[in-house]
Amino acid sequence: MRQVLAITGRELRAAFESPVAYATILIFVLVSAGLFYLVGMPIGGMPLPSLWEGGEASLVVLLAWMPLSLGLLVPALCMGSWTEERRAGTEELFLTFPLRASQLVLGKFLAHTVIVSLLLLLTVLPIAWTVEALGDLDRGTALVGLLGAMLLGAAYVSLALLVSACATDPLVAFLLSALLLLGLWLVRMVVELFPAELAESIDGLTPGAHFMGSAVRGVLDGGDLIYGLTLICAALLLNTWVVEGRRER
Amino acid sequence: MSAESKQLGGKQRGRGALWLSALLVFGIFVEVNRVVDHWDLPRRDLSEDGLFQVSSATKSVLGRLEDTLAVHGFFTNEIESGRAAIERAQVEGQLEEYLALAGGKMVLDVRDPAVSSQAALDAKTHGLQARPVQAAHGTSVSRQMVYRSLLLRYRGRTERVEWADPWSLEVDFVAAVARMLRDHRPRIAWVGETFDTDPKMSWQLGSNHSLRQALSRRFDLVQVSTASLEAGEPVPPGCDLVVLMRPTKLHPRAVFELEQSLQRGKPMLAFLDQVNMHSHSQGLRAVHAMRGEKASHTGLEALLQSWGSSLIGGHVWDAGASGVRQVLVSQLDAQGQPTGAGRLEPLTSPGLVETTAEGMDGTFPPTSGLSGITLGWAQPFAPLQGVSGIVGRDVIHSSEDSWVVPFVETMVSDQAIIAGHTATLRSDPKASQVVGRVLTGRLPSPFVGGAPVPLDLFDEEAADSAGGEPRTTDETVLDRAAEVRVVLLGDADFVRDPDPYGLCPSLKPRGLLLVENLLDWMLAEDDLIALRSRLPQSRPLRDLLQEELEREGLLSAGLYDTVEELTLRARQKSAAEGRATRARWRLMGLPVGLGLLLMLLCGWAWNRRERSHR
Repeated sequence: MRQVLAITGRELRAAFESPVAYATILIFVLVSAGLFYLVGMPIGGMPLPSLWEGGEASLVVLLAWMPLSLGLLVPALCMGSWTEERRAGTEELFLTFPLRASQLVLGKFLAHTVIVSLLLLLTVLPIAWTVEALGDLDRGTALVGLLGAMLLGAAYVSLALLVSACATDPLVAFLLSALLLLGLWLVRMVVELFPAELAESIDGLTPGAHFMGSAVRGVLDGGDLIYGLTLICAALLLNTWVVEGRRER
Repeated sequence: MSAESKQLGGKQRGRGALWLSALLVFGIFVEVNRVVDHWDLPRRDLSEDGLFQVSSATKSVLGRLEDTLAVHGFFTNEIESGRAAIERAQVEGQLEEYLALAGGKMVLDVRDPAVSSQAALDAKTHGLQARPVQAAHGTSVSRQMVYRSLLLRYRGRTERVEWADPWSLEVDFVAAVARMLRDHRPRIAWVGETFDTDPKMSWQLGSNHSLRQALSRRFDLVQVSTASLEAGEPVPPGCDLVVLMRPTKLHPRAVFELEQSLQRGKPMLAFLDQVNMHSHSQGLRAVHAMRGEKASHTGLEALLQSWGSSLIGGHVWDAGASGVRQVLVSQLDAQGQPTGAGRLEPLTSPGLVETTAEGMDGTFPPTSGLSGITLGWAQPFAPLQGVSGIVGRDVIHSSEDSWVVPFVETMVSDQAIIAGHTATLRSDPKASQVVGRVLTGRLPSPFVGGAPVPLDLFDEEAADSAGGEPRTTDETVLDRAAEVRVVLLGDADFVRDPDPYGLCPSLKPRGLLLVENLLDWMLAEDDLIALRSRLPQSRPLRDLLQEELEREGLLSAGLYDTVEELTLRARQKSAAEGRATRARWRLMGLPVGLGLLLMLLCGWAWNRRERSHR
């Protein structure tokens, strides 16, 4: 575990030493707040009004944006995680360390999950504070929504890291993982177009369905937790095999 | 084979193995989640409304099952629409949850009428029909008739859920089970006009076809004419409760028969409304005004007084929670002459009371959380007078910004005149008015001195004594005979049939919910009230502009007298708007800005420390 935490520390230091992480957080927080307060959620079967337009003390609009906004943000944060190491030649150095591939993967995963969680805290808490000052916010729903968004972020990180490990270039990694995550979000929008026997299975396999179906409504669901954890484990396992394969080569 | 080609082959094999492993992992992931989907995993709704977990009322109703409840599902399997397939799966999931809760007292069988002719026949026999569901195929759309109905059988009785919708299944299913658990289907004695005319026209008279139709799904409605009560016929003994709709000039004998029904323990829900609006070419005009009367008396005045619950002569003017109705506005030509055409425009009218959460007694289950019902020209009750044996409770109120005004005769459709009237009223003390009251206990009878003689139109002696002391009979009069529940509402417009133009308040889902809750309260069906009361709580935001206007005293100011006063008010209003906008931006920007500033400061300090360490 010490090795995993050492990798996590190294990744976090690298992230917060560069201004890119700060700029990303700044932009994400401001854009999310703008969408929540002024735009609403116009996409999807049931458009949601902005806070001022709807006049309801609820964070549902902010949380409804998460599958989409995290689908763009997480690939941007994770795109260089493996590809940059390869480009800078540090990957080979890494692979010669007496570390298991799983420790490397877990270390990177934890670091990026911490960054995404911090970002979500910085987005959701100030907005929740404002809404609480303006009306009677349902704190239970807000808390479960935040935890759900963190789990969603962690699942997205695991997938984006896997794509980064497979890709050769950061830009390719970004495009592929954004395509994958946005595709998973989009599938829910067009579930109508699938044959009925497939629609149910496909909808149940998208992270957005599990997030929007329970966490956004304030429901802690054991099934959704298992879904999130199995998705993360599967992606991290594959990531480990990819890194292991590279080490063997 | 060269070393290079060997390495290439090894790489390809490795890649192939990786793809296979990826497929395997994906397969395991899908399978695990498919299996987990059928497990009964813990689920906890942490929201304050608690709408997304099985309610305690459902558990209570299913726990009361003594014999086996057979649930027959008629579901189409091959559904073209993906959305409909997901909804069917959700319904099946919910039914499995109820199955587990029923503890072996429920069996479920699901058949597809689309493939089984016997299932199709059974569905048809019980009046269950397929509904059209649309499915998208690329750019084309198809329509499929889909079955998603339930037939419930318990102790020889059957109930139906005609369309199992995942959002309302719990209420529909449990209400059906609760109905079967009762000894018999409750019967309502409906006392009031039925308006056996075309429902498309009778809405103008204040008819209640929609309400009766909605109630007839759960209750047997027995029409009781006021003429039969006046003639001395009692309320049919088989009825479980009485609904008295908009009584007008009831004869004392009719009042006596209603009162004696209460003495026999039959609860009563009375919609008391002396203002009935009639639509005609000029707009809305009160029926009593068309008859040249001041108001349409109910005939219950003496009875209400004996219960300490008199009505105040007049209706509520609620400037704090006004409702909205449509008004017909004539279109004018270039010369300002009416063109004969008109358009409908919304009008905020303080004559309509839009109930707020504060106005509904949150501790009384039938009204708890039920805001947003528009009462029309509601008549308030005088403060409750203490009467021994009766416990009274005021359950529906107008806002604090209310007055009582004389009975309206013709509705004003000009917003400026309405605003002027409100401004004039502000010189009088304002107060919240009671428009809904419930009474429980053993009621004293005002007829202990003798029962009024039944009305006989051919009785000349009675006609001669008209205006004098009413004649009485020596029949037995029950007094404080049984514990009973009475609900008195100062309005009947919120349950009148919807008019096609929205000129009057009319029956809306929340109004129906209130009526059903009150009926269930009278029948002591607390589980159903608890189940139906599971509504999302309204969480309105503070109105910053309203607060600023109030701070400036602009909301409570009377009419302006001079141009200077008007200019000053306009300036004050503009300043208030500016302050409200600034407050809004401050509230949006400050927490977000502080959070970001904190992050940047922490990052800066951390970077500085890291650099100094190096």
